[in-house]
Amino acid sequence: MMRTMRQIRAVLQINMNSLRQRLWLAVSGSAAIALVVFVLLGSLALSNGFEQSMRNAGAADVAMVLREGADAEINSSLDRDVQVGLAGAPGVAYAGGDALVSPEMYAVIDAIKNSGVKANLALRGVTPVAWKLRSGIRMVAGRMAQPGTNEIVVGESVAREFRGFAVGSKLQLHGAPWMVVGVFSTGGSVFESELWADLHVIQQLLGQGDAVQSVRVRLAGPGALTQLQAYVKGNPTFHLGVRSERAFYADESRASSDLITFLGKPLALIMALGALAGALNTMYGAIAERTREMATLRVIGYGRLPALAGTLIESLLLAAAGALVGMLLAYVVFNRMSSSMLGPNFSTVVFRLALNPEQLMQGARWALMIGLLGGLFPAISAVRRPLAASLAE
Amino acid sequence: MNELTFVRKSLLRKKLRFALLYMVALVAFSLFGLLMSVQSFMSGGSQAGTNERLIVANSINITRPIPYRYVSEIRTLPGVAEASELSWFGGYYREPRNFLVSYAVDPTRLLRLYPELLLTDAQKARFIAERTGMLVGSATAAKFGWKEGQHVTLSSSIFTSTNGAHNWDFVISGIFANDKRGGDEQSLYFHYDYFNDTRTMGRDEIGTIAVSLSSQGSGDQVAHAIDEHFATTGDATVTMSESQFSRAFMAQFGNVAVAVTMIVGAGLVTMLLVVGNTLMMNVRARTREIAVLKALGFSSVRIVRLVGAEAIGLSLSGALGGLLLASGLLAILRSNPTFSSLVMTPGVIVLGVLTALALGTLSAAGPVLHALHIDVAAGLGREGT
Repeated sequence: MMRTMRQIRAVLQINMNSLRQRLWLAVSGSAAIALVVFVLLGSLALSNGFEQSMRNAGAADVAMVLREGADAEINSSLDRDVQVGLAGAPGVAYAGGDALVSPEMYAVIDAIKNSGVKANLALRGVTPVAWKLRSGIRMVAGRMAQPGTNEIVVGESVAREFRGFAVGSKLQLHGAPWMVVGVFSTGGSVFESELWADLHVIQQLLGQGDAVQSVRVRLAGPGALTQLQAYVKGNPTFHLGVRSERAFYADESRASSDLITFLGKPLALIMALGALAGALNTMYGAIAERTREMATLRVIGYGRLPALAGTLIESLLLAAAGALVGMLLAYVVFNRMSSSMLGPNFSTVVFRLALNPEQLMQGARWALMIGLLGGLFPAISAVRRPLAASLAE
Repeated sequence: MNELTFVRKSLLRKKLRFALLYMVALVAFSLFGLLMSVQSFMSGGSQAGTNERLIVANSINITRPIPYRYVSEIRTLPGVAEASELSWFGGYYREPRNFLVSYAVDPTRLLRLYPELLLTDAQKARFIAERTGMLVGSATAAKFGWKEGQHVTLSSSIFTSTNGAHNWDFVISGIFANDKRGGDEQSLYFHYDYFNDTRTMGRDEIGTIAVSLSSQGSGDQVAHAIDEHFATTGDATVTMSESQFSRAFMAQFGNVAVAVTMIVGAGLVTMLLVVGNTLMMNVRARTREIAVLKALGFSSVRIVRLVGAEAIGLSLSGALGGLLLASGLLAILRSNPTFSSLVMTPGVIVLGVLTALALGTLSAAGPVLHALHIDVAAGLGREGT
């Protein structure tokens, strides 16, 4: 056992010393692996960042009421009767005698990104209750909008990524003049990609009567959601769907992050095939150059295992170097990078890419897999060569 | 033995090594073909729409409705040949994930607006006559196994029917192919009147209007006239050519160009490194052989040609294989309605071949220089491996 270990170390040393001769071939093999890791982590960071921004928006103790069958706020419409009916529903929490029920209008408008591209932006019509149903919401610049006026507050991401939404900016909306009076933050959720204005003013402006797109309800406690769902079901004129806000945003994010993975994973897989070919090429090149050295070692009594292990370990080390470079590069480039995407409501969602340790490990696993396969076949073919033939080379 | 045979034989001498190099080139160029096509699709480079038709939408945003009467008003404007509502239905079949590109339209005018939809006169007549009639693109029909004359029930993620559900019943009057390569074969069209009479909300409101022009090249003028006409009404419009419209839509999905350039660049650089270094190793191993050629009186030009051709041949054949593979992958992607007009343009193919030539030349540089510097006497003395 000890002897085998010693032999492996000796073989490895020979391999590493000869590395200098084919340095560039080795570097190219490692670089190919680094690029696979980079692309894989890029797509993972994208889908993870988007999911996080959606997940942050959903609270477990808030119920989300939409028209039955509507999978997004933009597709839903609730009339006055429903809104009144929900205000007195069981399971609703109260604060200071008022029901915590927030009717909200949702529309999409055209806006211009900093890059000059026209993009859809979400406009939410709210009452003061809306502020009580988002935990962690706070103003980071300016002040809150006065109810009943043409004042507008914008999410942090909107102020950062779009033109003309700094505090004090004036804008035209449907022929009416508006003024941006504040910027709010919700700690990285999808709401930061929205404009908020007074519900009734917006309803009038868009000619929507008193219909809203959604009603959010603060739940009184555990079991309140079931109570509310039963109440809604018991009223045949309602035609409503009730979910927790958390479940709603989880459903919404799934389709989009699935799409990213659907596009990103095959791309990384194709690149991995290329990198595998590169790794095999490196290792076949390496063993071709030292066929005679290895045969000589065998003749003086080295076993097959050390030769095999030496090649395999070398390949894994090269892959690990590639993985490290790829992970580092991906972390520097992608983590916290701001990006935007069209969300399920047909409006732009601005979010930050995020890499977590688990995803970094996934990148490393791919790299080591390539290294393993890339070293295994050359190593096997090397030790299976007849000694006499190798020595004659 | 002519030079070509010589090049081929030396490339294929180590079959495994050649296969691996070819694989690397194949991957680099299939990524190139795939991603460059996607990018040109996103930037509206491929024909997602024709310049002759215009699309009218609400100026606030495409999701806001416009009044139905705008259609008849637009038809009276000078320069307009035909106009029909193209009202987004938000349809799906059975499950929301089977989402459909589906519009409520005026049947007669739609057929006049879209002559590229290939249908028989009998199919057209049936579509116009049947109130619940529907035209279905051949790709969508094939996906769900629909046949002509079949009754299908479609759901809407937006609208509610007067029957209280979100469903509408249709009968398939015709299945169309498209006269244009990469043209639309996904969409569904049905009667606006039938839809409007049976929906509970948004009556007499439509999404967009398609407009054709009476004379070519007057698009900007007519678009301006339409927007001018509705400028002072409650719902101002924004009018664009079909291609501008799809380009503006695609641009929202984000800056694809940067990602594409990064990935394609990465793939090509890897290929350059791997191929260049391996060929260098090959040439080193063949030092004696090249010295023999020199001793036989081969000119430097010929040596350059023999060694260089290996690199360029490898890169070119990899490019051809890779682009072919990419066009196969694009065909798979086209089964998704969003990517129905995703094709590899001739521009991408030409760029691919040029890139292959450039990369081949670059990766040949090292080996060629080495070959030229081989000293005949020293080279002959060396052992060949």
